[in-house]
Amino acid sequence: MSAGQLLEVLDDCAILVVMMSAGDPTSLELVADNLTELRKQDAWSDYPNMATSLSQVLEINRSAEPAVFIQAVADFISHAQSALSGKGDIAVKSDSPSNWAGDLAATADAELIVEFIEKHTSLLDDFEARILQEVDASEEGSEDELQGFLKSYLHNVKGDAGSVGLLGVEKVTHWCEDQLLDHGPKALTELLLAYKEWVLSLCKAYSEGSAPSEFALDFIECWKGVVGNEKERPTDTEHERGETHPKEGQPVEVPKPFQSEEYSISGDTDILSEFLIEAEDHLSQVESMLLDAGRAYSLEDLDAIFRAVHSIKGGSAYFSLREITETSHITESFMDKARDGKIIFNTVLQEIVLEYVGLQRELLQNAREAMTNGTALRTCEQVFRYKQRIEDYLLSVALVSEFESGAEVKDVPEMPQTTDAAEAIEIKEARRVPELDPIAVREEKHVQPVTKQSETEAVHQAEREQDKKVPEKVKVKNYVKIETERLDHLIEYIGEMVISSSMLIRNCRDLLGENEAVLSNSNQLERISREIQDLGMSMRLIPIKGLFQKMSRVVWDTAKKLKKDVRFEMEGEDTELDRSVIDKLADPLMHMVRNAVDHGVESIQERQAAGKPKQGVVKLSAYHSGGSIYIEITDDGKGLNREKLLAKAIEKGLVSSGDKLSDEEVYMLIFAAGFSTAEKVTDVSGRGVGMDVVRRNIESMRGRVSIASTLGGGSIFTIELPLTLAIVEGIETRIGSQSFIIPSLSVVEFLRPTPDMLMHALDKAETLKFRGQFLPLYRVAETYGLHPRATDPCDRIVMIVEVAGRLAALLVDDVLGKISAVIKGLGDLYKEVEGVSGCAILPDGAIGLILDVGTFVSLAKRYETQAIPDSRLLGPTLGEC
Amino acid sequence: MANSGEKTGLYSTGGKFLSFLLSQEQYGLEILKVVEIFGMMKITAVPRAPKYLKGVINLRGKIIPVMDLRLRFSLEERPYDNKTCIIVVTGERAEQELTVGLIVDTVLEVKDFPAEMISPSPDYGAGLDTDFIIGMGRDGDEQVTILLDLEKILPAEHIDIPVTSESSAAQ
Repeated sequence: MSAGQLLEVLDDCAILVVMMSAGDPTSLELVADNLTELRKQDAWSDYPNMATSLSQVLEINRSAEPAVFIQAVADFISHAQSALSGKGDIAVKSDSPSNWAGDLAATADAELIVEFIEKHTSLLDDFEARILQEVDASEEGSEDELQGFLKSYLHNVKGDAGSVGLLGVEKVTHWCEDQLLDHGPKALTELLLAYKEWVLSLCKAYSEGSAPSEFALDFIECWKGVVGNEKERPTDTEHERGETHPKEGQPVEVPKPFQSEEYSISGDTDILSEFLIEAEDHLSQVESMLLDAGRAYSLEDLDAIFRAVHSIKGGSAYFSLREITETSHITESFMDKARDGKIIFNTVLQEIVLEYVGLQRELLQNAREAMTNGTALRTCEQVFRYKQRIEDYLLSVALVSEFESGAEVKDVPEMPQTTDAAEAIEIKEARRVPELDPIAVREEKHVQPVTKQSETEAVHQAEREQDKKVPEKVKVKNYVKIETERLDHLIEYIGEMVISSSMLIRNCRDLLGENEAVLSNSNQLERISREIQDLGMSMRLIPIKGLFQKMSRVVWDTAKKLKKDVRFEMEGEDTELDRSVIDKLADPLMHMVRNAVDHGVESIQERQAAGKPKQGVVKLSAYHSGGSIYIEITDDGKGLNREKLLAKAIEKGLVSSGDKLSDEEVYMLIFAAGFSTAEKVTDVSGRGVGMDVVRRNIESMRGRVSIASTLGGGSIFTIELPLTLAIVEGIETRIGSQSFIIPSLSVVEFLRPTPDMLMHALDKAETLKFRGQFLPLYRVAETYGLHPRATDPCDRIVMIVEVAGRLAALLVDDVLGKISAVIKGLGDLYKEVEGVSGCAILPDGAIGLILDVGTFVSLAKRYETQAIPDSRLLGPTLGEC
Repeated sequence: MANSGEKTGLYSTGGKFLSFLLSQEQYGLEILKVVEIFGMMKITAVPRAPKYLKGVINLRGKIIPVMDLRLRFSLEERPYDNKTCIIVVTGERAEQELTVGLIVDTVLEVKDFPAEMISPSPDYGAGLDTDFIIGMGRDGDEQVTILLDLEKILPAEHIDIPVTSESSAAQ
């Protein structure tokens, strides 16, 4: 039987499913027989996942749970149809959508899934960070908090995944949730991390339109054993079944009387205020749509409302804004029904949604206040009433449809033709069936005065409050979302504007320097343009937190691999860096953190032998100082061993045994290419490639690394970086007729040499005696074939620069002053000019080349030893223009 | 030298060309690729680059590399004067748009060369690479304009490949 034939049989079954009803066992048997026949077909071999889910459906006890069975069958058929026909509205362009099989609902909405992916990729990072952070913190009691967080987050993912149609994710998330309840978060760190990776891989697979590498069931299967002593709980299958139809499975919770409870907001306040603003937007959008009265609601309108509610729900769950989540969830679920045409979106629903909007506004306001004052939130009765109202309404719709069972599903929505909610509830009451009695109980209970309860609650609260730290007050900020590309353009233009305005100012002063108005106005312009520049730069800044959080994962992974016990700490994670710097920093930082865990922190035995605590510490800190940003990687490990490093360096021929090196110089040896003191190469580090790359990466950002270390006490690696990559702070120097900018970070000092400072080794290698040290002297003009102003170094200026922990002297013609300018590339024609990292437009409109001290020195070294280089490379001579 | 016969595009359709003088010879560049023309301005030299790459200029805040076409074609270098011009052109290289300034002796005029007025460049054999020539544009008068293929003039990926070798220096 081919897939096409299977499809035909499925179509037949689909018709039967419409006909069958819970109360009619014969129709059930008929469908079951058909499916059993179907299961025997060998065409399923191409769709193993579909086959498994079909088997699962058939295992359901039809006579005991007819309703569950019907839904499972309906669900299966819709999956199978979309899988076999290869169409459906799934956005996976994959040639074989069956690859996703049961992991993706047939009704999946691509746009929603993309939204899901966008949202959860960043949230999952946070999720991971939380897990790792708690793993490190050993205090008791924090576990409960973590459990709460994980639970609410997983729940959030589950809900989201279910509603967008990522059934596989939903399934696994649910399973993880169960595990979490049974085992607690500590035992599950690995599972949860693997879970994160799995979800991400799935998201990636979806966005690439390929099949997931691991299916939901495989994932569960794979981890079942690991989680251990997992009994085959009889409820398991029930859960499975429950989830396969998230849309219909409206969770009707056991009704509870209203109780005002206190709950607090979790999560980052910055993101929260962002969320509040976003939610506000969504609400206004929904509201304006609803108030645009007198028109029929199209499917798109309903979709838009659904999506808005959905985003609010997702965001709120993340911050544990329970009430918002609950109300949104329930609103979402009936909007979903309306969208599917199961109920008609009439004035009653419109009213409900408007009520929802009003309620949300209030709740958001509460959340905002709670955040600003740092207080906890209280649940309010309105929410409770709202939820009840919808539940009642949905119930009435469900009841009506039950009465009409046997009729076509489409007829159902015509029933609640009521114009107000009260009437709808009346219908429900009139048609109430005995098993729904709990509602009566609930209604009685909730008449009970609330005050008494809250009184006793208050006492408890006061007690609890004392343990809890009062969250700090935060100011709610307002945001506008801007595309990064536009921002980059803006900043580029700001840079150009600053240059042209300073050019203009210079011209004005030269020509009209006497004029007071010109002077004061140009001062004003100068000030304003500087401020605009600062502002522009600050717009690109983002906190380094995200990067640090990624590193916590690196520490955890590496430590685990090496069987070490390492705690990760961070400090100053709110320090803001240019986006481009953060992007480029990720790699080197990862290498250094790995190294700290691998080479820095000792094994548990070694630590105990040395009388240190069993747990090592790797700490990342970031801070601003004097126009630079410092990032420190500190470990409390064994420190760098000077003797060992020296011996290794001599063995490798990097230094000669006679060289006298300072500690810092010796430490810097670890950054040399191919240098590794690790006794054995592990899969973590030891090949000596990493640190070389680290240094080069950091130098390419015009930054530098320094090391401080005490043997046995640990090491501190400090990365110093300029505030932004877009602007160079440097010393403008004149060489020949041209300007060169030497970045301030490299410059130690500059001086005019006296004859007694200069020496010649072997008549060639020029040397400068500087504070008792002998530094190699490189002539920039001569190396580049430019015409220097004078030949005698004593008529010129020497810049003392630092390269990889060593000093060197560069001879330039003149020093013109300090400058900060926007960095520009030399254009595509010039790729990697040795010693020049780019250029900048100077205030007079001329172009200054930015000297990259590191590569220049290595070029100059070769130049000295090579005699005269190829004349072609000497470059053009100047002055002919 | 597999070049003739493969030339399509302009060779077959013709079009408007900006003509300029380079060591007494007339050359032409497709007008659509020309951005603007101006007199000589201060060039900032970039070290360690082939001689024909003169450096960079600041064109209203944009950094543009300039190339001396005389040196690019291994013609004799000559001091710049008030007739010397920089033609800023935009070409494509390795699927990337590239804006370059070309230094020429002087700019002449815009000329129209329909397809029938363009004849293929003579094959000089291995001694002279004519790959960068679209064809020879014939005018009403006897003057012949050498129509250049901008993309071929731009240096290839790596700037440090040797410039047209000494042996093929023209005239």
